[in-house]
Amino acid sequence: MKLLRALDGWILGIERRVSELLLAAIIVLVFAAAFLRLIRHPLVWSMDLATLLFVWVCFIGADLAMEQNKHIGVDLLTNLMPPAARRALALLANALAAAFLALIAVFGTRLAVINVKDQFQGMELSHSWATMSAPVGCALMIRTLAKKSFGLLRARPAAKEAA
Amino acid sequence: MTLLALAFVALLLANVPLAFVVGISSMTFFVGNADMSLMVPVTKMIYSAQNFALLAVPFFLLAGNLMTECGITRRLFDFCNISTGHMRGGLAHVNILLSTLMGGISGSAASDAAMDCRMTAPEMIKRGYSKGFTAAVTAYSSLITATIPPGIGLILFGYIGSVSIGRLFVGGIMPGFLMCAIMMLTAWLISARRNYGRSRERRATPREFLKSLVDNIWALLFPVILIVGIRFGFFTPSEAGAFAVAYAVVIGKFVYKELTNDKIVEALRQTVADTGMIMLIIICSAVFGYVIIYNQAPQAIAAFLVTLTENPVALMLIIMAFLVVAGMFMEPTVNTLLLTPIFLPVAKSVGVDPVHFGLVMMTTITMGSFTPPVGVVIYAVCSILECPLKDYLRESLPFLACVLVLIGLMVAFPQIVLFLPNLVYGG
Repeated sequence: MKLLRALDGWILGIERRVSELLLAAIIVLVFAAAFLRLIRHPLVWSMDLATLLFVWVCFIGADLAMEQNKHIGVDLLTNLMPPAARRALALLANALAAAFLALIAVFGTRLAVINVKDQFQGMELSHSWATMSAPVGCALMIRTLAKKSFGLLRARPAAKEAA
Repeated sequence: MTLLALAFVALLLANVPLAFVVGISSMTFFVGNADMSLMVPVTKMIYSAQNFALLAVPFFLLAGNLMTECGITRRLFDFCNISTGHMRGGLAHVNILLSTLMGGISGSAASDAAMDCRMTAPEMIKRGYSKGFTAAVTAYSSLITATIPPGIGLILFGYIGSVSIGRLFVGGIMPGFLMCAIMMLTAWLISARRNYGRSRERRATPREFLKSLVDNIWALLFPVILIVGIRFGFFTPSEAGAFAVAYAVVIGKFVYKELTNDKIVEALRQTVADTGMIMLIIICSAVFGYVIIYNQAPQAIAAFLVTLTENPVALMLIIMAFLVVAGMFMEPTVNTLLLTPIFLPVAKSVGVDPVHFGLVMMTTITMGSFTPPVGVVIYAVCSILECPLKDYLRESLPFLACVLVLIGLMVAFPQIVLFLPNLVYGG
């Protein structure tokens, strides 16, 4: 258990640093490319590379947002429910979301494998480098969902004790 | 389609995050159809994020985060106070004007409302403005931020509807200022009746005003540079976002000297998570967009609406009425992504200009964050200010009326939106 938690913290740290670094890199790249185009030295690959890095930021960012509970829903009805029902529903919702993400991960990986020979228009790099961001991001989010579900399950006995 | 709609409502009510509500319910369409491979929706989703135009989203979010970190907000607050503090209900005007000026830097209503909750609102409550009034002004004035360029909502609308983001930006200027004027008038009327005080004893001298103007020139100049740069092709809207970030870093580090490296990292961290949240919705909406186009839903809805009326004004009012209701229950980003592909073709088919439609639609949709029962900004503002919901609701009615009047004006007089873009870009 302790090991899992340490591993999770380690992954989270990497996610943060990588995504921040990538975003900063994209900005420098796009800014530099715009400047070079103005002085008539366009970089043909800059847009492709920026987009490639961006999809990684998106999927890692989606996981970080989940970590911080930023993916909001509508709690109008669930707020009226007793805590036990709310928790059961939250667990169900997590399971559904995880299944959905698993679907993207599986088909995304297949897509990356099938299209491995497709290259970006402006640079000699397989398009799969971008596509793989989806399965990786989904796997990270499934892990976060599992962690949150586990937290919900564990909170239960404690709540009973208090009652 | 029925299964999709049922799944959508069920998941929505079960408090599933909105992105997954859209994604999972859209998937039910494929699960039922044995002859359709799941490869198609997944491909749509993954490729939807690989779009250079969407880079504008994190860039403008980051630029906004950086500029609030580097002291621009506090300086703008002083400028607003010098400009309007001597009026009746001074701080209410400061609150509204600050949202207008911040609109030229930040592109998100929610972040503007959060900023105003910290800057202006506590001061208002301390000086005897009612909590409900303070919360209502803070929430509703943030709509101006979303309209004045740059605006994240307009970028998303332009991306989904293939409408020029440059034109949308310019089109937001007049409605933004008009909204500022209408809201200030309303705040003034209410303040006069309740005897709310002023935040300055006398009108600022031209000299004081000029000094504050110079102090704020970098923030005030920014939206102008942005529009000029995009119009004359120095940069695309996405590149303009990167420029905005560079601009914020340079001003924060070398002019105001308040931006530390720690603050930059903090702004990056915040932006990555915000981007991830918005992009997950975009990714999941890609399937939905595919399903409704596959089903020719826009054509069906257009055909139905045209049987009601072919008058563009009446048609737009019907659509806006629907958007007001949709805004009550769903978050603006989701509404933009789901409803633009449905309603924009309808509007175009009766000859409504897409830029005109976009501004009216985004104003209506963004208002959804301030209307009950579901509203992101309501919850943020009321919880930070500890304002009871019913006080907020009662005091927000005059401002709701302001926005509805403005929407009506924009629908009836397209030139309010289109005059400037046609002037700048040519009709």
